[in-house]
Amino acid sequence: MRRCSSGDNTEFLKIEFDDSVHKHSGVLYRVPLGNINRVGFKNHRVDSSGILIQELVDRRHRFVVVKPVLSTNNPKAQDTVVVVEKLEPLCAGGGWDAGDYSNFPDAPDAAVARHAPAAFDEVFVALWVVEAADERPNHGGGSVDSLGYERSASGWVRFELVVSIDNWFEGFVLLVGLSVIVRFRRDRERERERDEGRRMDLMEKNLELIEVQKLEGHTDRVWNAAWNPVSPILASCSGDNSTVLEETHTRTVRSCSWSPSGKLLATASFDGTTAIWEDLGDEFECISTLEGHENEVKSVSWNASGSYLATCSRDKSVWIWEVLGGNEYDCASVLNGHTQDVKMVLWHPTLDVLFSCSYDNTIKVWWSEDDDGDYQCVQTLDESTNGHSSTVWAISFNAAGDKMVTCSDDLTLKIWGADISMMHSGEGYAPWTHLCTLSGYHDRTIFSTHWSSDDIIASGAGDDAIGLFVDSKQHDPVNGPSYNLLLKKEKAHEMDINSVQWSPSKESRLLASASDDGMVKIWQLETTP
Amino acid sequence: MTLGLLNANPVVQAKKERLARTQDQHRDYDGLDTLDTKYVRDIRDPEHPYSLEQLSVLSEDSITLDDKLNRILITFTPTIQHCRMATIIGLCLRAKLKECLPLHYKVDIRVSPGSHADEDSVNKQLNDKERVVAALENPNLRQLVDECICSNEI
Repeated sequence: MRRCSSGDNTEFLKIEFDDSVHKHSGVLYRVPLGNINRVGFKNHRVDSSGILIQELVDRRHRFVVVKPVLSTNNPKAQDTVVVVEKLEPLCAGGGWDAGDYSNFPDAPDAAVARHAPAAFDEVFVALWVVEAADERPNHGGGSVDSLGYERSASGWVRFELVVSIDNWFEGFVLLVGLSVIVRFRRDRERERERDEGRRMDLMEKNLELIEVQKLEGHTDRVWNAAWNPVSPILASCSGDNSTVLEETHTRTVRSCSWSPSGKLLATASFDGTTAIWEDLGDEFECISTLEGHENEVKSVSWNASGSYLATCSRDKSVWIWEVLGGNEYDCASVLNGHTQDVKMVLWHPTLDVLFSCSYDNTIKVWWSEDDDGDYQCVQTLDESTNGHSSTVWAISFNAAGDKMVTCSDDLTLKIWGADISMMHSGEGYAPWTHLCTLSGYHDRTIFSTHWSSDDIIASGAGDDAIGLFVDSKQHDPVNGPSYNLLLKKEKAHEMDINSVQWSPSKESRLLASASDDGMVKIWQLETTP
Repeated sequence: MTLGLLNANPVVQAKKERLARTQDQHRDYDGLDTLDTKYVRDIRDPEHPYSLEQLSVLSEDSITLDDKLNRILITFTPTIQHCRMATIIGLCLRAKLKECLPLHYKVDIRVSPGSHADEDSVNKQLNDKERVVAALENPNLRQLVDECICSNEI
């Protein structure tokens, strides 16, 4: 790369051809790094009557990256270069038909799933879009730049790179009609610096949990609050059963869970059913109701790819549902094994392994060895394996999926670990072992726990307090990892806290808490000046 | 005829004299322990037409209050070891207290140690908030509980 001057004497970066840049790549110049939070593509098509049609690609599950555009190999450069390798433009000539699109290739280095941010974070450093070196930058108005033009029989077709500022959603939408392969490189040095910076941030400075927003409006206790994975929406469910939900659920809605795409919301109710809601923009529509449990459904969870749903109930069973097309859901499996009320069910963040925790004081792990949908209980974590001595209320995984935290009526949080690389490589089931127990921090039932993507564990309990814990980073060969209390927010609510959940946004450390006092509060973890 | 009542012959105590309450004792929740017994001791037993106090299920010692932390512990004594109504009595206590106490009070309910064969199981159920809420949403249970707590006594 080198710096060049354009006609108006401003500098910009220019990409040279080299082995790693395909001649059909596209580049966007001179966009200040700090302004970019969102990059997308728009496809401008010209239809048969010569009218220019603007359309955004139908996202479905085609997210490629979940990071803002990053800087070039010159760390001081203000410019950003967005590189997408091997961009193959559509052929000129001939008209465009609706079906005239190349398919997005399923190459492994292209499909870093939106729903597997952990895997993504391991490899992502920069996403570049590089135009052929002899192309000049074409600046559109404001935030738009063109990648290039293709001439078709019915007129010009323009590929635009749209850059917009969006505080929430960081991602790419792929341009229909172009096959794109994205390559990732691991920059260990940058990662180390970033992690060090964040750790120092956590341990050396004074941290406070500041209430940034209070959401009132429920007239009864709030059981659960869940952040949408892709947009700034928070779903909360309450005993008060709002007007919309009342038509579907006849009793308390106990918990809710967004699908990985953020388009669907599943709600679990004491009326024994689980409802699936679709986000239609200005309202939610119930597209399906799953029946089968004998009594109250306590929890619902989507797997990483959104192809399976799991529910659990006081009837002691865990059900796995297959997500078929056309709003159809089929019961794939009924798992018995717990001897009491099952409180929560949760899929592993990267593997199709299911976890459940129960009033019977145990955590069970369910897995289908042959991938044929025949799930079995492959492990039970009980008191004999350093497990809990009373009802286990919640489970949460770290971003990498190799550690999990559970919380209980026994007033403790427990950290567990497993060698999941073994499972990723297909060597069979890797068992979970107890790593650490956190006790003495809450003196009433701990109802909820959540592990943030930057490794802070939050807990919410019946003592009205929120606890935050971090790895002490002291590697004790005998006792294993240990965790320290980062801070405890006493009287975070006026009554029991039923749910805590970190926001998926990487921009700031936001935590949502839901309580018996009918409120949902949003907190920000900040350093005190 | 005693159709299916487990404890057909409960021992019934005379109702304790209600002391005339002075102005001071009414007002706020400082003297909460004495006011509490007032709320709960007249709860009717699910099986017999007597109050929990009359059946010695509850007494003045039943309630322990922690004023600073706003926590209350209620201990009750089912009339017999295998009382099947233990959980119902517990639910009645919870439902009644929810009506009477400030919302932020935390209530723990237990059977008196040694008074019930399934002591741990009953205690666990009565102190599982989610189970209590679900039970009280059950129309049949709710009706039974309402009958017990809506006493005609003053």
